[in-house]
Amino acid sequence: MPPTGCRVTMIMRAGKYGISETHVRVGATTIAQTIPFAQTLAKKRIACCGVGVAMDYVRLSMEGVRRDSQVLDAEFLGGLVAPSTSISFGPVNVEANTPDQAKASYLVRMTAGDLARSSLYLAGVPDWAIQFDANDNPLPPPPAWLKILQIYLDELTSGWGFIGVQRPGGGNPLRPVTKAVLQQDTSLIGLVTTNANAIDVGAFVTVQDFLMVSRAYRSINGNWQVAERIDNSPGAGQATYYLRGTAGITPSTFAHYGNLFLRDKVTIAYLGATRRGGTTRKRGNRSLASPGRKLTRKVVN
Amino acid sequence: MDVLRSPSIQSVRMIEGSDSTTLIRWYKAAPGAKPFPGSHAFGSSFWDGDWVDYGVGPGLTSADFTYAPGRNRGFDGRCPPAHPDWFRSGMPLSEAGKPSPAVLCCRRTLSTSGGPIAGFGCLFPATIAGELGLNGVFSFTPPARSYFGALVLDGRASRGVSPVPFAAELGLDGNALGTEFQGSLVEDGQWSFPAPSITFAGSLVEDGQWQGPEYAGDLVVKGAWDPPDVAGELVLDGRVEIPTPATSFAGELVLDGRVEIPTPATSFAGELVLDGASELPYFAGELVEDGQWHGAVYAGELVLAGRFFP
Repeated sequence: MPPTGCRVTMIMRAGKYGISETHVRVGATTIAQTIPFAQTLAKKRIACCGVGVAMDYVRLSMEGVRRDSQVLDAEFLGGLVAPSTSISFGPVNVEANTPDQAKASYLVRMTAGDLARSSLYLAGVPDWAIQFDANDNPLPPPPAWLKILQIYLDELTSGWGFIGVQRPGGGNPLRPVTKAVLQQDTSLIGLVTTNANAIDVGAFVTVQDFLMVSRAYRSINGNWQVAERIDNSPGAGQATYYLRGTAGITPSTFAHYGNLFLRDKVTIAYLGATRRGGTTRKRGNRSLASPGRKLTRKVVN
Repeated sequence: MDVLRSPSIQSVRMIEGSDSTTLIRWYKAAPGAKPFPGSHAFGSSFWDGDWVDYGVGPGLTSADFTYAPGRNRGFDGRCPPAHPDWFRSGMPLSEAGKPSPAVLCCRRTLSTSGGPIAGFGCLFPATIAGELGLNGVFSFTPPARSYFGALVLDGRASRGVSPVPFAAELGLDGNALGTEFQGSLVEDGQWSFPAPSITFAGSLVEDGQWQGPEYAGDLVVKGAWDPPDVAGELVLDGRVEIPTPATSFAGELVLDGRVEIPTPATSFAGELVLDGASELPYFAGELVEDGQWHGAVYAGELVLAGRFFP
C-alpha cells in the first residue's frame, strides 16, 4: 500500500543557502483542501527562523498520485519572512536574531509510537539556539524561542506526519526463511518462505536476522529487490524469492536463517516531539562556505 | 511548474492514454515568473517516491532524466496558460498537432515592461510583447498602453481610456472595447471603438458588430460595420455601413451582405466581390457582385450576379 496524504515541502532561503523541509498532511485527499493547512504550517515554521530567512515556495503533491502537484509562491503565502525581533538571551545578553551557521541545525525527534520516529533537523533557526558551553554541552535556547518552537511542534502533531517504512505485522507479515538456494545462471540468492500473500517481482524487501558463520562473509541482511519469484507450492503459499544484487553471497555461509518482509512505505502521523538541541550534522549541500561549527557562548560582563 | 535545483530533459506523455511521448526541457523561470495557477500533472519526478506508477496518465513517463542547460529562451512566465485543464488531465486528442496557446502564451519577442498580471481576472500591462491567452475578463485600466503580439480572448475585453495601440493578432469571443488596434483581429462577439480616430492595420475577422472610423488591412465582418476609411482586403459577411464622407478603401473587397455608402466621394481601389446589396458612389478596381450595387464611378472589371447601379 503506497503512502497517502498530501506532501508539503517548504522551501526557504537564507542568503545563499536553500532550506527545504517536508511533511505529509495525513488523510488529505486533495491539494486544495491542504493549502490552508500548508499556509499555517509555513507561517509557524518561518516564525522559528532567524532574521533574513524567507519562505520562497511551498510545494504540494499528492502521495501516490503523481499527476497532481502545485507550487505556492511567496506572494500567495503573503511574503512570509522571519521575525526581526531580538530575543532576550538571559539577564545580561541580548543577541541578534541571526540564522544558524552553515550545516548546523536544531534537532527534534518526531515520534510516532514505539516503532516509528523521524529526525527533524530544523535549519535556519536563530544562531543562539545551537550553542554549547565550554564543555561542549548544548545550552538551552531562550524560553521565548522555545515557546515559538513548541507552537510549530504542536502544529506538526496535529495532523501532520512523514513517510516511513511499514513495520512487519498486520498486513505486512514477517516471513521466516526456511531455506536458501543459489540460482545457477545468475548466482543470485533465493530465499524460500511460506505465506499466502506473494510479493511481486520488482518489489523491495528487507532481509533481517540472518546469522553468518563468520563476519568475514558478506551478509544478506539488508534491503533488496525481488528479481524473480518461483512459486514452489502455490497451494501452500511457498515461494522462492531471488534477490537482485546478491551474487557473491553463498548460502553455505548462513549459520541461521532469518526473516524477510515487504519493504513498503506508508504515511505515519506524528504523535509527539522531543527536542534534542543543536547539532552540526550535515544536511545535504547547503553550503558554499566552511563546514559546520559549534559556537561557544560568551557571557558579556 | 515546479521547484528544482538542476535543469534537465525528461520524457512526458501529453495525451492521456496515448503511446506517444515528447521530450521536455526544464529551464529556469524568469525573474518575476508566476507559479502555474492551481494543480497540474506535470510536476518533476525529483520529488516522487519509488512507489509512483509512471505508466498511466499525462505527465512524466519515467523518473529518468538527462542534465541539460537551463537557459530560459524568452518565456517570462507571467501570464496564465490558455487551457489550464490540459495541464491537469492532458491535452485533448483533437488538439494534437496544433500550436498550443499554452506554450505560446508567455513567449516574449520584444521587450516587456509592465505591471503585475494577476491570475485570470485582470491585466494591467504597460507594454506587452508576445502572445497572450486569456480565458476570463480582460480589462485595460491605465491609459497609454500598447500591446505587440497575439491576443486571444475568450471572455469580455474592455478598455475605457485611450489611446491603446495594439499590433498583433486578436481573437475575441466576447465583447471588446478599444480605441486603437494594429494587427489581426478575430472576433466572435461584439467589438466597438467608442472614441474617434481609430486606427486599425492588419487582418480583421469579425462575427459581431464593428464600429470604427479607420481601417487598414484585411477585414472580414459577419455583423454590422461602419468604417470610414479602409485600406486592404475587406471581406464582409454581414451589413456594412460607411456613413461618413471621404471614405477610401484600397484592396480586395468581398461583401456578402448589404453595403451602403450614402455620401459621395467614396473611393475604392482593388478587387470587389459582392454577394449582397451595395451602394457605392465611386469604385476603381475589380468588382464581383452577387447582389445590388449603387456606385458613382467604377473603373475595372465588374462581375455582377445581382442588381447593380453604377
